[in-house]
Amino acid sequence: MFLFLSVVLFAQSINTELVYLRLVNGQKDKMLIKDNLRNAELTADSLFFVHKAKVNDSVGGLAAKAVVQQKDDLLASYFFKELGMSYFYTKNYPMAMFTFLRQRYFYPNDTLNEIVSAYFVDAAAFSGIKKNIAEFLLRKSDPATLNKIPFEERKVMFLDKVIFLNLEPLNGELSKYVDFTRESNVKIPEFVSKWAFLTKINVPHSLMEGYMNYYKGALDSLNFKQKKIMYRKAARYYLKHNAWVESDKYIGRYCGLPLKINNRITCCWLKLRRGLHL
Amino acid sequence: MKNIIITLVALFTVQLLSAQDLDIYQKRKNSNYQLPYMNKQMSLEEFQLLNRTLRLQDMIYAMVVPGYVHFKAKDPGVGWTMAGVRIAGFGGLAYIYLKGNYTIKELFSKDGTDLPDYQEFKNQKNIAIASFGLIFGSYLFDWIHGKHRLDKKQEYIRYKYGLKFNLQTGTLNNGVKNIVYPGLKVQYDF
Repeated sequence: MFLFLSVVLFAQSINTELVYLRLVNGQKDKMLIKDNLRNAELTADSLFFVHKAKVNDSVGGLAAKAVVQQKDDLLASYFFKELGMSYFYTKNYPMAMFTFLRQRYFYPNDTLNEIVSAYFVDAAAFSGIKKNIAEFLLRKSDPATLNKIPFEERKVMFLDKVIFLNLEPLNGELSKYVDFTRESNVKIPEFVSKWAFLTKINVPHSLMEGYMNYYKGALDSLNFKQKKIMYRKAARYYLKHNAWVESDKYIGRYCGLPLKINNRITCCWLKLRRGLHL
Repeated sequence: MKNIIITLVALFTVQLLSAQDLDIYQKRKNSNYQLPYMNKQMSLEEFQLLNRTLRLQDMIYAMVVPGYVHFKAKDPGVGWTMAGVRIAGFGGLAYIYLKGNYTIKELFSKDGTDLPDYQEFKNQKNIAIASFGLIFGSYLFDWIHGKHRLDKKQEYIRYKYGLKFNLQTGTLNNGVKNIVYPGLKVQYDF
């Protein structure tokens, strides 16, 4: 009974947030919409975990559980749609795309397919993403297909598609969702771990697209320049955080490459920093 | 008559000493241990903004610290801009002082048309006027615009949490008749 009530109360809070989002989106006051985005993200983040909790809920009977779950999923899908519209109205187009993808992958809804698709294509255009890529993502996130796939798998599919988008403003949010996925006890695929590593060591975003083959391939798929940048960035990152063992590994790999004189000086400087624990 | 006037002035002064703005030591202050109601989504920044009010002492501080009101309203960009504008104003005055041709008093008291270096006099006078304009203008802008910004931010925060609270508790009339049920409440004050 307690779990059933907690699910009902949670539905109330999504409903409150949804109604509020509709009211402020209707007013089109950018400052008012922006002011609420932080609060809406708190609710959006919690929706990532709620689905799993409801699947394990065995109180209330199967029929009652199915009705509550369906209603909450409906509310959640409309919530994400309205949140995406909020980002769209405040001209934060990458986050609008991110939110629409969240809606399509986590709470697929046939009714919202047309309107979300239209705004998604516009947001993609304003973010510098080609139309064919946007249409590809929409095809891959078709609600009819996704409804048959378990929620845990959809989380990983979502991460895959957002990494594929390769938008720098989304790096922070994506890192957060990688952590959320780990927290919900889902095995992270290797390509997501590689992306998270490259983002952590601060590889310049302009070069990240070149690393796409490395995500789903081996280290040999990288060329000399890419390896050089990766090892140097990793060595600096671990030195900065006083992780001497890891920094030793990457300094060794960096200095083991056939480097030119200027890079040799960098190699000596890294070794000096390691020696002096700087 | 004289005694009546002295008594009235004394009473007025005593009342003024206990006014909210000018008192040095607040005798009835209990906000240090009074715990307010807060929405769980409220951030520290929003809580701070709601608690802030602009008082007479802030007007005096703003004269000394450029951009003080904007910093208080958590608008550091504009605050630092005001600081830069006021420094530019003082820089202009410092330039006139270091040049040494004329004092500020001479610039504003003389006409200058009879002076041999009239153009120089005119330039320095313009710089002095602009400098004072920047200094006083930055103060007025800081105070007026800063207060407006703080009020606006507070309004947005109150609107957001007030409306959400009303939506949550169902006290907003959405066309459905509100039915009041009798209830029992127990309250214990520490």
